[in-house]
Amino acid sequence: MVIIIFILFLLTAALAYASKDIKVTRMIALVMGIINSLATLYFLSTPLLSGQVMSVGGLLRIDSFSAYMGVLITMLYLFTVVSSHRFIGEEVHEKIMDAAQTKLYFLLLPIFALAMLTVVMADNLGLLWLALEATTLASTPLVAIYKKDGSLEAAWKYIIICSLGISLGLLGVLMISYSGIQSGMEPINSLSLSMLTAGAAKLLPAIMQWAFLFAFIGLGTKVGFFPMHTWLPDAHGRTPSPISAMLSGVLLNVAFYCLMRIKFITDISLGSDQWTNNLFLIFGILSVVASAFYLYIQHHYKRMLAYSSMEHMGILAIAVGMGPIGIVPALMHMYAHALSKSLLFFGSGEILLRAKTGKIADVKNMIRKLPITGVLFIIGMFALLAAPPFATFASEILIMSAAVTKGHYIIFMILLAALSLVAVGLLKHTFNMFNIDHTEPSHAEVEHEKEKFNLTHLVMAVQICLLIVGGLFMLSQSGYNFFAEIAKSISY
Amino acid sequence: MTTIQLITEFFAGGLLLATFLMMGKIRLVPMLRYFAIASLCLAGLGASMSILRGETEFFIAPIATLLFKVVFVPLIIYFTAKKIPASNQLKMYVRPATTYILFALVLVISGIIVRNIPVNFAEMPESIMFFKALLFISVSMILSGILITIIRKDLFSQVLGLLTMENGIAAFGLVALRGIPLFLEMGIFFVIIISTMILAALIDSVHKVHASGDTSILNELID
Repeated sequence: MVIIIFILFLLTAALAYASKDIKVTRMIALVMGIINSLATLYFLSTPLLSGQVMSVGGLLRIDSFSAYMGVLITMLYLFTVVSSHRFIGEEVHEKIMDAAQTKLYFLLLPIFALAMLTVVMADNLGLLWLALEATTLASTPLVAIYKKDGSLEAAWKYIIICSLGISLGLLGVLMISYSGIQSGMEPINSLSLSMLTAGAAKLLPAIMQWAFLFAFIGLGTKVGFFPMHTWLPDAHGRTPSPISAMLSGVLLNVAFYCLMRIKFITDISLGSDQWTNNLFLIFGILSVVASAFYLYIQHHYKRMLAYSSMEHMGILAIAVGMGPIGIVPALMHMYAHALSKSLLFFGSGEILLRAKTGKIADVKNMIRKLPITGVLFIIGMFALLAAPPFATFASEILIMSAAVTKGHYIIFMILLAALSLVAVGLLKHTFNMFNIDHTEPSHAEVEHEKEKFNLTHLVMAVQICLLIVGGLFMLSQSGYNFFAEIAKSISY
Repeated sequence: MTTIQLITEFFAGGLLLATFLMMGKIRLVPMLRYFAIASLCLAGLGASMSILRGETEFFIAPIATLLFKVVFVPLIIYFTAKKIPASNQLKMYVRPATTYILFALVLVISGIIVRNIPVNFAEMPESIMFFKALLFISVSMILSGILITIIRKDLFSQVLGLLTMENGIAAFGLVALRGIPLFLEMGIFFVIIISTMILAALIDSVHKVHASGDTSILNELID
């Protein structure tokens, strides 16, 4: 089944690229994308719901954590494919993108998603590293696709900084392998995640500390932790909006997933999770605080959303840094952030198509010009800000409770202050964009082109429903138990 | 000391020397030449260490290094640069002489790191001193690669910095793991080639937009 899924993704890419007509390319990408996604969701539902572990050739291993991440990636891919059909169609119509750019876009989109799926399904650290690097290589041309100065700068920073980071991550991986060999493992098994986890107690703690440090700094660059985050707002801000949704919504989570896997091996080797937890807490707090300030002073709405992703990665790091009590809310937060952030990026694409500018100051009266997008965007913003009953509310309230339960009162206070600043910043910018400006001619005086309900709106509406249903589920006992079962599989 | 040990030491020394000479170059062709020499030394080091350890199945990696890093990668960069007239003169934030001082600092830091990395040298069949030296060289190259990407402000040098860092990691794999597993090694070569091609395409696009390869012009996206 895994092979069929891999073939389906590659076939989608090849067919979309081979087509000569842009309309056909978009249609193939849409239809095949839906088929791929449904097949992948069906395949991943077994390990996710039953807890059954699937192993393929010693290179892939799908437990419930991998399946959970896979479901998040696939959902976001499905939403992106549907939204891209509309967004790219409009950009082609406006002559912002030509046929070659469109074909490149639909060639790389499934490859990018497949690379992320491979990362979360990999049982071999070498394969995991290669797939993570493949995510950078597949997404760099997507960041640079407009070939304008801003997008080229963003793509350059993205590939150079992330490649430097991932190279350091490779050094960490090699050190883990060295530690495995020194503890008596066969060299071929010294990269296997399941073997390393099983034999983690014998790994050399001193080497594992170094290995984790390199992996943390290296992969932390891809996660977007402060101060290695410099590529993130540029890349997420300059990419076509559906790709921004994928980058912010799941790619950061995928890099975070890698860190979590390595963390648990290191913890067993060290005999305590204190050392790795401290690293997560320090970088988590730094990321949340720094992003709160960056967010407040933002002038571009897509960069604003990108900094918000950095903030949410910080929240995730703080949750994981709390120890076992924070893992369940961290898993919930991955779902909540993936959906709410991608929703807002899809909405920002609609705003960009209409306003033709990314500057907050130049976007006015959006609630009048784009009433459907406006309502969905504002609801999405409340979802991102952890308003009840959205999933973010459930995850963040549990993270805050975990901080208090663990006696991290200072972290609790810092987090509360930073999140308040974030809320003020995001609401201020959002209302500046959507608020009715009475200095502009009114609706009656200027005939605005009436906004019609489109595919992107459908995606945004579905995401809002999923955020509400997810939030209510998370707050129930069965919801908590579901995530607790996934959390168990992280340490095998 | 056997002849093969001498050859191994020659390649190890050559790796560091070529990186050192590459650091201060302000023209692309000499910089590329020294990168190719450093990669050649890495391939030679891999081959001679395989003979030294009696593990000749690891010859595939040195051959691939020769093919990809000594031939393909420098050629891709060279032909990209050939299309761009302004590309030959490389830009730095510091003077070339200062670069060598910074390189000396990198060597000192590498020495400190190697003293603190708890590698079990007793497990190695060769002399402890030799392996400490190799580990020192690999760490120096990783740090040199990072240094190049920081102190250089042109697109080509940053690519070469990234590749130098990767050479250092490959050298670390040779020292600590007796070679990286073949599928990973081949995957890394594939990644290097694809990365170089993407970077070359980006350089070409940047030159078309800005008519310059100076990274300081890439300053539109600031907060």
